[in-house]
Amino acid sequence: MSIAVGHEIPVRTVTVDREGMKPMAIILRDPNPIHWDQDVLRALGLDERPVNQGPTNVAYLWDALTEWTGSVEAIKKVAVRFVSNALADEVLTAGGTVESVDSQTGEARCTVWLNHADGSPVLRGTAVVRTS
Amino acid sequence: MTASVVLRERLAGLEFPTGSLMVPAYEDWIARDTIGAPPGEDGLLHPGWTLFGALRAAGFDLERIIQLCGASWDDGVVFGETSIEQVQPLRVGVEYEVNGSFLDVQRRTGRQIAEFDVVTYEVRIEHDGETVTRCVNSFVIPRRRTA
Repeated sequence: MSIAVGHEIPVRTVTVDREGMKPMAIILRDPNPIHWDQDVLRALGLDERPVNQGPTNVAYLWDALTEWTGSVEAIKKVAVRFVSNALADEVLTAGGTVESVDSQTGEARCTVWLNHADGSPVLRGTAVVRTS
Repeated sequence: MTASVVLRERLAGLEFPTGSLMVPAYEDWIARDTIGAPPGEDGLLHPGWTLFGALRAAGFDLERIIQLCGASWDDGVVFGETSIEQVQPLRVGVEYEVNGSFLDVQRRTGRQIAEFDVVTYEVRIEHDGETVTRCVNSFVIPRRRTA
């Protein structure tokens, strides 16, 4: 993979799977009812659409990076800040930009993001990938 | 001493009990279906398992971590940040050891939440004594809401 500073990671679009939050709660052993119980969401005064699990949002970014690099093994590090919730049925986009490339190690440092449809942030962060 | 200093003294350095992680192929399939991810490379788990595994297989589960911080889900606890290092990809069907410890507790103030603690902990997924993946996670625990 040949890349240069400023290279844009191809944008990956994903729709938050409402029903998928239920098996994901089991996978994560995450007991927080905001991911599946609309009665709790109503009682908390939140939007009635369940809140996607944060780790699933991070997984969308991994997929964008894997699609770009062509291999899971190429990704060394992903670090993100959870800025806002993604809700059931939302369409999100994941992408990023190469900020620097170490010519000796072949490692590229990138900014990465996951956005709502209006461009506001769900996740903001950085990633390090091997390019050679 | 303030409550956050007491909490930091109690938690910082506290080791989690050792946990274990083994993900069968069907479970990776279900996770990929949920994420909308393509089928995996031969024998490799979806990389999301670096964090999924750290959350579900650490010796303290999420409920216990929050409880140790003197809080509950009803307090509005949210994920703050995660930093994931992948030394090697995780593999289907491999038995991993999962170790972790609390790193820090910091009391902060903000606009939306008047006072909150940021609790940071590390989880390492290991095989044959070597670190395969390492996660540093932080949770935000509201202590006093803005009036």
